[in-house]
Amino acid sequence: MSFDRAQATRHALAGNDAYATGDFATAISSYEAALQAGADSPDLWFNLGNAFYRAGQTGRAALSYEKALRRDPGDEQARKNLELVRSQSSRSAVGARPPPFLDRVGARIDPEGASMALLACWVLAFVALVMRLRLRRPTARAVSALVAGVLLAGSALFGVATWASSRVRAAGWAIVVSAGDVREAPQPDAKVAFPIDAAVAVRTTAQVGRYVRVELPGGLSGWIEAAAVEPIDP
Amino acid sequence: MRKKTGSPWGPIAWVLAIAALAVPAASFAADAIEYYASVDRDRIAIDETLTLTVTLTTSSKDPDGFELPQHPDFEIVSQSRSDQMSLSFGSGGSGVRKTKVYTLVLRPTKQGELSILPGSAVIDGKRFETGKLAVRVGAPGTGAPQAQAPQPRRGWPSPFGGALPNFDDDFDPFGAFRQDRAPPSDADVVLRASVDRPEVYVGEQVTLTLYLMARVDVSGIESLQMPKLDGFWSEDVEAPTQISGETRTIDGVAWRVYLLRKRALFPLREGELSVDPAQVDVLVGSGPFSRRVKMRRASSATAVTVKALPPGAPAGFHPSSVGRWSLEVEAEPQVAAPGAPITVRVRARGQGNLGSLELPRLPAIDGMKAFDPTQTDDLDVARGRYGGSRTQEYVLVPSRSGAFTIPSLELPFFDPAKGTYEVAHADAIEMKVLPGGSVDPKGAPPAVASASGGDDGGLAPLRTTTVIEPAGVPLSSRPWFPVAVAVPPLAFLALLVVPHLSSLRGRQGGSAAGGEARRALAASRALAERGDARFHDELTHALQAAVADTLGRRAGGLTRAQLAEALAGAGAASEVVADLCAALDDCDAGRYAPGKLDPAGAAATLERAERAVDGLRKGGRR
Repeated sequence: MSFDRAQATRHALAGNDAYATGDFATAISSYEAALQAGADSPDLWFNLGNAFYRAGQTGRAALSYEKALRRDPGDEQARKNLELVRSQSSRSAVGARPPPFLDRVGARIDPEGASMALLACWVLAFVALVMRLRLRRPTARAVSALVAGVLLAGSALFGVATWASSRVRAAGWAIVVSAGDVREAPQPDAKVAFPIDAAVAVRTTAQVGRYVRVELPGGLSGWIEAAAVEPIDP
Repeated sequence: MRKKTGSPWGPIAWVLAIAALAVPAASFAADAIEYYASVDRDRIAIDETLTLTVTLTTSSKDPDGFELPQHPDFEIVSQSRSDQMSLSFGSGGSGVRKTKVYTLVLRPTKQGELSILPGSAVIDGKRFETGKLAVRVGAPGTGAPQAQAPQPRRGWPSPFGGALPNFDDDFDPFGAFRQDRAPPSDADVVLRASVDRPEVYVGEQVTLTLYLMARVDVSGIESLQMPKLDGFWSEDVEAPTQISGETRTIDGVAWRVYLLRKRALFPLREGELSVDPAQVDVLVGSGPFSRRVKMRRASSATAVTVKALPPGAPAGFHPSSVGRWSLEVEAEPQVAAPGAPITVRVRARGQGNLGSLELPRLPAIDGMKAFDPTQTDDLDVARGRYGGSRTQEYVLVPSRSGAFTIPSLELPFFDPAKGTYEVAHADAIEMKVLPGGSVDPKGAPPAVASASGGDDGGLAPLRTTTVIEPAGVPLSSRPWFPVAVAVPPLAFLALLVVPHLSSLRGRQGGSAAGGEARRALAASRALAERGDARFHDELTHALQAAVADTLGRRAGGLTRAQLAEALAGAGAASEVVADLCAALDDCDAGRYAPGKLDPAGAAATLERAERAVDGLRKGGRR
């Protein structure tokens, strides 16, 4: 997708103006137009989340905040708004459980930062190892060996962080954008396993026809219409 | 003496033993996936139903794609699913197996030879299919009798399985232990469904409770099938995930009573409504000498008499508003600026069918733009009575300044306890919208500020200074990233390996300096034999070449101490270094104090030098 900064900025500002006047439908379409123009910043997703929330679309609001957090895991405002949306849209215990620990950790990690730190530690570790070989003085050799060890440990740490962040992004997490019934089989007349609220995070694992199989962090699973869920990561 | 030899069958026996252990493991893995479907009858009448059972057994992995058998000529009457997980241990290793059983009761839509098409499951890239099932559907009254479930054996299965005719299949070595453990009778395990009141109004809660009562050990409860609840809106009040029983004495008999489900039913129409029987599979028996028996139990049907609501309902009454409700309305902020959103919450609290409660709509207010409300429910089950609060949240945006009134709202409802209609009231709310700039910031955020500096309802505000960035590819997904990660270790490896390779080459073919050292050593030996005084020059040259070969650089200008340290750093042994230094000292003495060459001294120096050169070549080369 080509990026048109001027057009994206124009749409984003138009969205802000519409939001300020309470025209949330126009705000949503303007922010979406900015995204169509190739913009993909956490701020834009955050504003889109606010507009969806104000327009009463809590599921899509949660999805937008999740996308903002994917791009900037340290965005505490987006996290706070997401919690607010979840607290207001969740009327049942379904979905109240948090995702698995590793996914929660992975979602909190900035993949860019982790990858860069991994690369930097990795390169510097080998520089230190080379110095360890080249230096003659025992003290210098010991120091370079220590530095190399620390940097290799850092590389391992950031490698795990990079893996965890990419793992959660490939795990098929999605948001329920419209409340509905989760059924026991991918058929419209199948027995309802449990109702599900908008804004609940689920993991999609399979698709049969127009149904996707969803798993909730608590272990519940079933089939829901594919149109009712939107993936967080494309 | 007899030589002890191993039996030739020994290795073969080992191989067979390992194979015996490996085969069950392999067969477990191969048998781990099963997907099949069956019907209880292959010939039914058009007015009958058949049961389609679909079983999927996998290892712990879920299928990538899954489809139940299609049945275009049948409609689903009911459907249920049960999940089982088993952990097996044995000589073939341990494994987890997950079994999902879908049970569909189907009714044919036409007569003739009908088919149930295969279902499919994709697991680990392999596709598994159930077979195609044929069912002959005839005219009413022509169906075949339902297949009988196999009767449980009276005793444990014989290990001899009838293969030997003289053995009794029913021989039970533990029979003496289990004489008092006969299979439980129908009266020992009872599924009981009860409603808390036989007569209610339309929309009034009646609570259906399902209990399992047992006089024998119950080790498990499977696939509880709730009854059809036609004519009721139902909500779970209690659905225990772990069944635990309590002991009650009924008519002098101690029973273990297990609560299976408690459900709030709200009748949707008047008349005699029936609650069909519920069914449950119960596993009975526990302990080392007890056989587990699976029994199906059904409750008896229950009827509820539903009375119509009395006449005289107030205006605006909705038939689903039965219970006991209170109403409240709140607006926040009550002083605002034009364009600033005002949140109005209309909330009803109480007991009754919260799921179908209709809240009064907020009427249109002139000068205020209203957005569709969002609705949230907060369930509360108190002493078995279903209820809670339902809130509708409106966002109003004033388009002009002035005074506005949210009118009082009313929620008429029928109180079944009193048998009368009541009306819950919420008072009117006055609001002020002041011209922009004159709003007290504590009272209400002005319109622009609400968009740029603050938002209400706890929402973090909009970001007006939005950073616009293009969508980027993550660093770790860029093609050069793995190359960048691979380069440092490869470069380091090259640094380690290349000098060793050149050293190896030097040892095999001789490096330039090493060859030079050997040549100079040979020349100095010849000079010594001739008594030539240039012996010391040539030997010094040989030693310096050997040192250069060892260190990888010329060592001219180094003191003896520096040279010794450098060679020690390159791995030369201390004796070798000592020989080298001594030989160099001899050479210096010979060169700077010329005279007739002493053959004995030259031979000793030469021998020392040769030892040093050999030592360097063996241990000190870098």
